[in-house]
Amino acid sequence: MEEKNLTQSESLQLIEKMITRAREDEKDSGSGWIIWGWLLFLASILHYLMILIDIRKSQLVWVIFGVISLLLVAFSIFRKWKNGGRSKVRTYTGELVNKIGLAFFVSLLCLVVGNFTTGVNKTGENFGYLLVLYGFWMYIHAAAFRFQLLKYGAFINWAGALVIFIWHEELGKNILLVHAACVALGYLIPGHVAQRNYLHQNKQ
Amino acid sequence: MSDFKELDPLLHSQLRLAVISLLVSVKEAEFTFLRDKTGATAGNLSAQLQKLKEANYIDIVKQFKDNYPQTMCKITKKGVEAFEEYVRNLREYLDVKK
Repeated sequence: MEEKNLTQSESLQLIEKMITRAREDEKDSGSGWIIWGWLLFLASILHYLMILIDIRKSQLVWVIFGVISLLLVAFSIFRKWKNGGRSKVRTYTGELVNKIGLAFFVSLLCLVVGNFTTGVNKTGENFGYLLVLYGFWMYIHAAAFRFQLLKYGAFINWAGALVIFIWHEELGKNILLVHAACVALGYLIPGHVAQRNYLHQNKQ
Repeated sequence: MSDFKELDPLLHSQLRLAVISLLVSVKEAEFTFLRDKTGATAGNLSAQLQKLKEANYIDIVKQFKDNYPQTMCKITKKGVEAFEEYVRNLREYLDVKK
């Protein structure tokens, strides 16, 4: 950048350009949505298939899913802690989203414990509560990173939750398919789109 | 006599204004982030950062993280106020000029 005398309008243009550039790094790589989405999607489908072929203790799928998720969250926290000191920039949005992300996982953990202790998991309604929470997290994330597709994902998850709450008796084991569909539309599609955009931007 | 307030000469410079505009948008940023975003040379950027620091517009913290030297820059309250005043004066000038 050369030093030169700026006119007033050039100054204003420079301010706008720099503010836009500072925000360029506030992009989601999509990897979190993809990993979490595929885990949830596969667990739902696997559980559904196990019920279909009458395998006992099919709910063990979710225990395995829970253990893998906790390990991944621990790994992610460790990696952030390890690299945190070397990050080039810290934004207010990034910090807020990280804190809301932590609140999401704590809330999710409470819900999962509640699902088992209250027995709500036996009726399948618990997937509705989970979808409500997913929708909440997606909507906040979409607003923070100005990612419209994820906002649609939030509405799909909330709609899925209502479908489960209203028709859980009629749906039966198909609740798992509703859950899987919401995860595919809410997590996987936006996640893969975000990743494609992120890689494309980093190439430039 | 003009009613316009004079633009802060410390901010009315291309590189210093670019740096302050970047820092006002983030919580804190490393030297290399500012260098990459402004496209300035390390030497020039370092000199301009020093001027902003002397005016108490920014804080500079030099530290070591995992054996890597790291220079973190953060805008101060005085820096934010100066930037807001600068933008206000700029807008007044441009509004009257229209």
